[in-house]
Formats: sequence, C-alpha cells, structure tokens
Amino acid sequence: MNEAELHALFPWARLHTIDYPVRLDELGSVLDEIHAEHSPSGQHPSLPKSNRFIGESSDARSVRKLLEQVAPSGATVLVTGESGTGKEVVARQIHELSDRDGPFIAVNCGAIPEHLLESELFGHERGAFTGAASMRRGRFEQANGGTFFLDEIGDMPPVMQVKLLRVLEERVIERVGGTRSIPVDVRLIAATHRDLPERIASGSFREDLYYRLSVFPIEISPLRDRPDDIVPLVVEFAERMQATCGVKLDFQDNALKALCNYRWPGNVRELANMIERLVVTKPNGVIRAQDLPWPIVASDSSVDVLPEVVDARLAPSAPGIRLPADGFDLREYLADIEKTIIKDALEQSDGVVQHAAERLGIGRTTLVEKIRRYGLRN
Amino acid sequence: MADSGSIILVVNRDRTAARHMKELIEFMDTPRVRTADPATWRRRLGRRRLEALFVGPDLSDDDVRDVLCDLERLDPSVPIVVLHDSELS
Repeated sequence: MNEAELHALFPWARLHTIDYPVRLDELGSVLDEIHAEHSPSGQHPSLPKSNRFIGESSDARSVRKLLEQVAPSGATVLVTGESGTGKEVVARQIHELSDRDGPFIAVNCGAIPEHLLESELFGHERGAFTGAASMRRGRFEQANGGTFFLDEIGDMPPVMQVKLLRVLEERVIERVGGTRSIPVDVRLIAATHRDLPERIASGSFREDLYYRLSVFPIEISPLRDRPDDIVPLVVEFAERMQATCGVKLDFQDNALKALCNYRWPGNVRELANMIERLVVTKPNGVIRAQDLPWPIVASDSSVDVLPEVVDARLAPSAPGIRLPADGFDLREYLADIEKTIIKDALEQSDGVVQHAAERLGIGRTTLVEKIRRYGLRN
Repeated sequence: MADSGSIILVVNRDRTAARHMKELIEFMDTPRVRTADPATWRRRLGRRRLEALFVGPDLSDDDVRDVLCDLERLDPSVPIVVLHDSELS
C-alpha cells in the first residue's frame, strides 16, 4: 500500500512514511516530529480517560446541562476554567453526545513550540522546511468530520490566531509549504485558563477571534467552589483505579472530611493524582485522614496528623503538626516527641527498661542510649 | 517529551528486522522501544501509552489495515510511521 492509498483509507491517521532501509537523518526528522507532536493532554496517564463530567453540585449540573444543549448543534464552544478543572472532559463529552462520526483530536497550544504549531495544526508538504521528510496532515485534517479541541487557546501566538480565524471563517486550511486550500469539516472546541478579555485588553489576544470562539461559552468553576463534587469524584476515581489496578480504596469518614475541607489548588487533576498515589502507598486500601498527603492534612484543623498511637498519649503536648510561617526546627521537634513517648513508656512500665523497650518496639540497648541522651535516667 | 509510561512499538513479522529497527530508534536517543508482531501488538502494549507505532516493511496490506483499524479504536492521534520497502518499489 503506498502513501496515497493509506491516506485515502485512513484519513484520520497521523501518517509518516519513510523508506526502508532507513536513513538516519530521515528517521531523526520523523522522531523529532513525533516528539514535538506528543503533547500531554493533561489527563493522568494511568487513569482511563473519562468522558463524563462528574459532580452533584449545582455548578456541575449546570455544566452538564449546557454541554447536553450544545452538543448536537455543532456550534463552536469556548470552555474556561482553572487548570485541572476538567475542560477536556467537557470537550470529550460534547463530542460523544454530538452526532459527529469523525475522531476527537486534542492539541495543547501551550505545549507546542511556536515554530512547530503551524505545522502541527495545518500539516506540511514534503520538503516544506528542513526536516520535513514526508508530507504530514495537520490536526485540523485529522479531525475532519469530528471535533478539534484546542486547549490553552489563550497561549496561542498572535500570528497563529490570524490563521485560526481564517479557518473559522472560511472552513479551509493550507498545509505549510502548500498552495491548495483544503476544506475541513471540523467542530471546534477551545479552552483556556486565561482571562481572555484581559488578554484582549492587553493586546495579546484578538478580539475578533474571541467572539468567533465564544459562540457558546461554558465556564467551569474551581473545585474549591463546589465541595459537593469532591466525594462523587473520589468515588469515581477510586472505582476507576480498582478497575485498572484491582486495589479497592476504602476512605474513612475523617479522610473524606479532610478531602472536602481542602482547597484543591490543582482542582480535579490534583484529586485524581492523589488517588493514584494512594493506590501505590496504601495497597491495603484503607485510607484514614493521616494517610492523606501532607498539604491536605495540614489544611484541615479537624485532623490530628499524628499516628493514633502517638495521638492518644501526646495530644496535649503535640497539638497537630503545623508548619509555622517562619518555619521551625524539625529535628528538635521530633526529638521532643520521642522524649515524651519514651518518658510515657517508662512510666507505664514502672521504670523497667526492658518492658518499655518492648512497648516501643525497639531494642533495649537502643532505648538505654536514648534515655541517656534525653537525660531520663531519673 | 513523552511521559515515562509511554513506548514506541515496532510492528513487523520478521523479528530480526524489527529488532534492528528498534536498535536504530534507540540509537536516536529514543528509549522505550518494543517490538511486536501484528497479531499481538495490542497485548504487548498492555496498559502503557503508545507514543508512536512503526509499521514494518514486511507487513501485508491486510496486516496494515488490521493494525491501523485497531489503532483507530485505541487512539487515532498516535503518530504512525510506515516503513516502505524501497528495494521492492
């Protein structure tokens, strides 16, 4: 099958053809292009991608209602919201609910170097520039008949904004190095965490493009503003990880409370990453508040981060671990805790070192050395 | 650059040629290359993310068609490099 036949049979495919036996310079060029193309979509690699916008808050319900309304229309959509709020999930769900048969293609404008972006979006002809070893269809062509998701549109360079505007107006593209206008049937969904009106005011984003893109705007609020969504998201991600890794996470009530009290600066993505980390660090699956990452525990005043065994005995002397704004001496702090625990163990053992060492799970010699160091011999 | 869980797969029937291609790709500072035959490449990939798929020169048209159809279902945005046997054309 030659290149033309392959393109005809698989119009969606991101094809490169090189001669075999391969020349190293040709292989190098193709690998460079692949590395440049391979932009992360923002989804966590180990979590299966979701096409559902999860949540029970009024904001989440409102987003779902909007995307269900707009999906069948084919209108251009602008999704805004902080990083990690689920903009690509919304775009995928719009595509799923639409009747478009073509693929869903995503490009992160902020992840592709400016000099490669035009070729990435519009493709290039063979020999269009040094290293263009073969003709390549751009993402617009690959998305033909489907949906093209342009993430981080607010980071698109001005010269590319002009070219994108032309595509939106005329529905044709031109490959780099080519002269032919190629019609494309693509539904565009753009997304950004930037304040586009502010960018327009500063002159870094075109106002005409903004109005072309925001035919149907959908704004996703940050997770901290919709705490009702946290538990449904935890349940969803935990179920997905169970399906993927076979580990069932069982969140205790105090853990769920801590998760709901946390502000989630990284939004849903941070939550998903945390759950994936817990699968590794807590393979037995029971998650208590103390098992959660430090920033979550530290932000929740209702959780005492000390392990239960320490907590029961030391609550008055070690009221939670909170890093003061001006910092503190960790070694000294831990030494204080150790000294208090040893003192407690000695009292409970009536001063019998062997028994105290057994209670603490350490060797007698080790305990003797610590008793000497902390001046507890009396 | 790709995440650490992604690989490049070279799909070919001739294992020696596939291994030679893998060595060449690795020589170009691109680690994590695996080889597979057209019938088992999905299994070989497992749950890893596919950074690119190299389609070997000794695959039949039917093989290529099957591999690309499977890839479309898996992830149509994965770059495909078709190795065209210049000595046969």
